[in-house]
Amino acid sequence: MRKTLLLLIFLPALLWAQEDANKLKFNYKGFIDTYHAMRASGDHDYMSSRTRARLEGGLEKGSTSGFISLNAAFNPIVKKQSGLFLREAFVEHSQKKWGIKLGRQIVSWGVADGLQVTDIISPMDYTEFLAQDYDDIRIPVNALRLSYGGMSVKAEVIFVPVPEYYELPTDPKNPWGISLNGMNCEMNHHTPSKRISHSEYGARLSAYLNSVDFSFCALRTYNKTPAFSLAGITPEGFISVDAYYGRMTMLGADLSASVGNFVIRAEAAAYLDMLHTPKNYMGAAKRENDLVSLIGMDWYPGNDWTLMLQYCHTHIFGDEELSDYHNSGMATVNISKALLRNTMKLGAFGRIDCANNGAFFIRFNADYQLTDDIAITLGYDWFRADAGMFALYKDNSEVWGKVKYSF
Amino acid sequence: MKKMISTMVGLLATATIMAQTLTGLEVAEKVHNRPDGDTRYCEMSLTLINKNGSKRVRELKSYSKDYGQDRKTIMFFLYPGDVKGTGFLTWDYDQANKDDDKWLYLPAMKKTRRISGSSSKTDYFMGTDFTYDDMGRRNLDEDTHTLLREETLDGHKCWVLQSVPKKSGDIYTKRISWIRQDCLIPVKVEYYDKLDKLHRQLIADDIKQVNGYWTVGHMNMKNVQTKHETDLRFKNYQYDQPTSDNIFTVSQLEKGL
Repeated sequence: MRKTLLLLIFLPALLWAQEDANKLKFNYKGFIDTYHAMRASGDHDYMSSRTRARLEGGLEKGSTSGFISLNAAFNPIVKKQSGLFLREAFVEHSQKKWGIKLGRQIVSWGVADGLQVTDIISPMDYTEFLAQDYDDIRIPVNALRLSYGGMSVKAEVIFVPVPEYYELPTDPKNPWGISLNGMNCEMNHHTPSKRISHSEYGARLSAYLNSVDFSFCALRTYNKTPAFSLAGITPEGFISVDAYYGRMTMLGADLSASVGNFVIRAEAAAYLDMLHTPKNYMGAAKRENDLVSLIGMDWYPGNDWTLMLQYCHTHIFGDEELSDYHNSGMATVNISKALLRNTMKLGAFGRIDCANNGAFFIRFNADYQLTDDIAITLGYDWFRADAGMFALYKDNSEVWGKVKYSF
Repeated sequence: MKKMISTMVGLLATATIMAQTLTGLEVAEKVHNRPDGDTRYCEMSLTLINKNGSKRVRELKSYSKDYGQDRKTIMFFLYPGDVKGTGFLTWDYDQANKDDDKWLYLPAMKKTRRISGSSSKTDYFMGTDFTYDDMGRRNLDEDTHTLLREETLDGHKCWVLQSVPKKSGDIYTKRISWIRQDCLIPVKVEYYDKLDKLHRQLIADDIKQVNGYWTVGHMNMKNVQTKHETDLRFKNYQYDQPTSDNIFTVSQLEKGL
């Protein structure tokens, strides 16, 4: 229903734009890809198998434009991922300094690479954990954004009537499904009711200056990853878990500075009154304040090498007994090298869970551009963990391949 | 008649003296300051050709605007499909000791990333034979310029200018340019490697006036060592069109053009 409404909003803009073909600009792009992954150990079963077509179209007339992005997908492993899906659909209008963007869209804040500090408006879809393209992992939100800015400064306010939350898989047939102590889960999501007083709203002020960018932001939101509490055992033998979402405020800032061959990035956010899972999932969710801070460095040594390092530390204030550590850290390493005149790219993105004995997940990939339109990618996802989030997937190391035709 | 001959001789003598006294830096300054409008727009098609003749194509469009001696440029990739919509914004400063500001917008990530302003100049642009430095404007102070001689190339009188980088990090140790005196455009450039062997050669042709400005319509850069070459064609060149400052912003980079 929501998607239909969005299309109804979007269509008049397209029809109006078609009235004057002389000034109308139309563009489109898309791709068809097929991705398959096989477990590297044990039964070598299929971990992922999906084939999809993406179509993105844009219409522009003067200072008004519309954009739509659709996925048609077939996924025999995660059935609910098969079908036709509306990803983004928005209209945008801008004047000299003012801008408005209305509709379903991905919102991306902050300067972190693959980690969320201030970037919490568009949550993540963990249906296939991180074994998806990044833009498919981000969940679009229905939002109204107003912006005002000049050459070097931009102010933005955002209003999201109905916030979106992390998608956490519980389907036992999904190799990426979440289990608790080895038992399958059934989640009862206690999301806030759809009322205007439960909407999400915030603002961000950004500056782009010589050698340095920085921004400040504030957001009245909810914890997008739920706080869990055990509810019992279902007749099917699943662990029943209540998932709670509570009102919270995020205050954040980020900075990105170019120093010679390096770019230094920093980002910090205070999550005020964040809801946390109690220790052993027993009892009511606890409210505490969190401070999340990230420091990162990108190095561009030349010869098409790129190295990006990050460390993100989370500190939970207070002395409540929680299932999360009061201090935890996640480090990332992202290294890439382009070869053969940019037709081949080798890369590795590693996440190291510093609070759990260095548990890690590393995604290696080799991408070769067979023609201008066809790319082949082979990769290996390596998990090693005995505790923490990656331990859920300790047997999920996999080899994968993808063929993509872009147009 | 005598007066006319006297005037012509005088002009010729002045021109000869000027030519004789012109230094390498002055020639480089003439090229650097060649009138090319306050704003410019063009579409570019880059064809990469390897030694076996197989081709790859990159297409993009670019807007730029001058702010005194500084220049702001925004470009978007149009082809191939996997990079379509990728945007690149540069604030290029004329001061040699001031790093440029650069941002890259990746549509798949929905994110703009500041990238290093100084490092990528010697990398090849999108796998072509042009470096990022070749695609932009190199600061005059980064090289030592020497006027070697004057000679005629394809019927056009040229200055032959040698430019040697002052820093050791560049991919060439010297650059020799044949600069057409009538339009101040380098029509042939040779780049030499650390062994003083010819590495790359640039040929510029299809030179014409557009909106009163001399414009190159076609360039070919060939790596004579690997036999790989890149054909660069410009089309829809437009100068001095009203171009809002707001185009050269991160907001516009994220919105696209």
